[in-house]
Amino acid sequence: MLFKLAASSVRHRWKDYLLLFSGLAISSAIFYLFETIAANHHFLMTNGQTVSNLIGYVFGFGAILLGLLTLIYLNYANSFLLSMRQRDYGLFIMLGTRKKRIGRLIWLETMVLGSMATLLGIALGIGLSFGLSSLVINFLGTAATAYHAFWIPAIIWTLVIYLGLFLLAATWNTVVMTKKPVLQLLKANQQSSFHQSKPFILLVELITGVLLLVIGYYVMIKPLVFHQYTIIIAVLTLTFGTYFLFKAVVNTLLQWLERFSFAKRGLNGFTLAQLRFRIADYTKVLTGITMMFAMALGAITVGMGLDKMIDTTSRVSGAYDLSIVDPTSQQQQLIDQLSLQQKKTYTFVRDGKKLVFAANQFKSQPFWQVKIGEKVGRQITDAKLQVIPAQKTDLLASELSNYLGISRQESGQVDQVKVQTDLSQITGSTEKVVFLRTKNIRQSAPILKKLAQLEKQKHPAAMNNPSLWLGDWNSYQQVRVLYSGLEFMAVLLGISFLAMLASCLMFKILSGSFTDIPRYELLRKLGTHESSLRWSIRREIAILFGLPAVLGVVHVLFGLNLFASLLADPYKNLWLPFIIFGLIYLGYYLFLNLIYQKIVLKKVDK
Amino acid sequence: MENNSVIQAHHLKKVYGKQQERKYTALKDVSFSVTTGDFVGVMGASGSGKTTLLNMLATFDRPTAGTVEIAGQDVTQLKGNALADFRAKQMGFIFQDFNLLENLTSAQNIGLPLSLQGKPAKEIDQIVIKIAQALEIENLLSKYPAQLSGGQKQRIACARALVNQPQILFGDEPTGALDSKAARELLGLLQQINQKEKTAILLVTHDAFSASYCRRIIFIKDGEIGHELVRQASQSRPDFYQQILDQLGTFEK
Repeated sequence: MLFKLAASSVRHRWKDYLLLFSGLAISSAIFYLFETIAANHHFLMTNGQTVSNLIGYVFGFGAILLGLLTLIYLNYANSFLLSMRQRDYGLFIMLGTRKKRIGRLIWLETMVLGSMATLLGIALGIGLSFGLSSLVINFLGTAATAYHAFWIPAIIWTLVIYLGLFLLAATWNTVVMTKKPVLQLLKANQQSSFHQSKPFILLVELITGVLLLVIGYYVMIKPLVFHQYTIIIAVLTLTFGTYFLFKAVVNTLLQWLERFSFAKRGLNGFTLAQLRFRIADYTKVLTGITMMFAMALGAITVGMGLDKMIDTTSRVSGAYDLSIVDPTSQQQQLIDQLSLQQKKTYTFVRDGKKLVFAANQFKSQPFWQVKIGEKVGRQITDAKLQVIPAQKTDLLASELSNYLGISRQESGQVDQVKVQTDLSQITGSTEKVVFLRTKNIRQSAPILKKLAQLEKQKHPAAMNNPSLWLGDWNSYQQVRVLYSGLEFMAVLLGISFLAMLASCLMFKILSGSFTDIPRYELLRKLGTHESSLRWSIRREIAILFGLPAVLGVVHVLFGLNLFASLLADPYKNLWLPFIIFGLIYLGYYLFLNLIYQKIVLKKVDK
Repeated sequence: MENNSVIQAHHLKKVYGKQQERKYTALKDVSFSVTTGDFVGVMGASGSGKTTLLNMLATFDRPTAGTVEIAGQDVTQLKGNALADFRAKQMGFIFQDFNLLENLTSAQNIGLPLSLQGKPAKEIDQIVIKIAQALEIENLLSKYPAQLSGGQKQRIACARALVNQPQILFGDEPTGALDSKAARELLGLLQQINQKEKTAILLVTHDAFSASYCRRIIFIKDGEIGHELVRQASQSRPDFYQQILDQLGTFEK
């Protein structure tokens, strides 16, 4: 009978349950999505050969944060569930149901809801991963092939973590509910959440918050001071700093604003008061959202930055994209199609396994090299193009052998490249070699690919050994695989955080909507225009969205500094990821706004 | 214009239930008027239709048939912003559960209707202080509703209802949630407002004691006006109270 009652009450409030349920499902879907990367070692390894400790960084950071946020999220979801049900439980107890039975009912309810949401979430997550990965594979080519949308370990992890958390929540709910006095359960809705902080405590919180933020920003600006501890310090200081800042500053600011006369115009005072009460209540969730916002925006920015780095990084290995010995007419045709920055043609004499260049041709046609700077950790940025002076024949020879020597060595054709002034002693066939540097390696990629293929066909023995084909084109291909893997991961992380943020914020704001219904109802009875009610809601939610966004952007601006070793200039072209992110965030705001107004302003006089 | 009627209700009828649903007639045919400075009580058992009547008069709901004129204007025809403005300017409300916004201070709660009308802040402050003095609640102005007792909350609600000098003050069981001392004080206050400011008051109540403060009582039974009592000038309040009890006694039969 009791279970029937419970079922009927769920049916009665199915809309609230749907909200709770979908929130939980989305949360577990995102967790699954995340685990498809985190629990796929093969995928991690294919990306991780060169920059493995960086991936470890990103992932350690991401996993800790995601775990923490999941906990916070579940905490909110759970308290929402409790507040929804406690009146009913109180009623059952009042009607004489034994506490033990109630406890069992609560436990069962939480578990059923939780496991259903988790299963649905996993299904949703698989679909989401499929959609995302096919999208990303389209963009990135082969790089993401090691990624699997359907990944058993990820399913297991999601089940273990979520069911474990729900088990905790269910036990917690049971204990809380059976310990509370009946009257408190019955009148839960009428209890006020009013509390006022003392100015002194606010001041202490303010100073602590600012101090923590300063420390956090400092360690991110100077990541070399604390090395591997930088991330941990930054996460902790920024999280708590954000928390105190919201608690003290925003609260004080709102209180201060209420003193001005504009606070008495229209619904301004009401909106301010709503915010002040919300902020006290929302501090934790806004902190979480700020961190998520920063993570999501940071990940997407870094991901897009990585994409730009492909060209720069691949160009470090040499001044020329390709070298072609005795171009065939077919190759010549392709070369003519390229838009070139440099094209150098030299002749050499093939003397057995020796290639000998006449030194004087480098005077009229200087050969270029890439000079790498000496600053630690910043090699990529310091790379510069330089002319090799014609008299430095050794340097010329070693640079030339980078393109010609080693690659042909394997096939047993070449073991030495020489540059000398006097060629009279050398006998052999004279051949021609063309060095090409395109203006834009990415745009020229299709033609370069064909050219390289034709060139490789001349040396079948060395064909399948990519490391033997030096030149920027070759490193471009390798770097693209590596970086696009990282980029894929960063973007996926970013999307995960964004989705998590979205559902978290939605949940918190919507769970407040129930207490708002009578407030807006009263305002209407007092004779408030419908348009002012809508304006008030819009503004209130906008500020709740805006606060984490502003602080999150600041966090990101400082945090990008951490990636200076990976990205040549992490602050270049920031506007693009910021605008994309901003648009998604804005769309999300508008959506939530609509839902909120629908819930709160339900009854409209006709 | 003295003794002009503030409310005129003509043949009010209210039927609940949509087309396919079972119909329920809450009000059958109710006509009456309230004049300036009147103090009217509406009494009746649960389900008699008194709350429905109040909702019609206070423009919270629309009648199925009939009209309500307040200060000469047919409010059943008002819509949207015009209706909102009309409420803001002409009417005041006090509710059983106070309906104060718990996130605003008393002063902000009282000043809210004025803010909605876009009055300048200085003027709002002055009016709020003036009305607070009149209701002896100046020391409560900076407090939040959670810090106040029920009687104090209802005084704040009263101040909010009166702050825009309405033509008519509606009370929906205003003493319902108060203890007897607070209830007595509130009713005294209403009586005083009625006499001094000449604000018309319409109370809905099922409590004979509250009703005895009124000058005129309309009894509603099964959606119709069953009886009307008027307190004579010479009659004392306890006398009138007794008369109401007697009337209720016969009325229940």
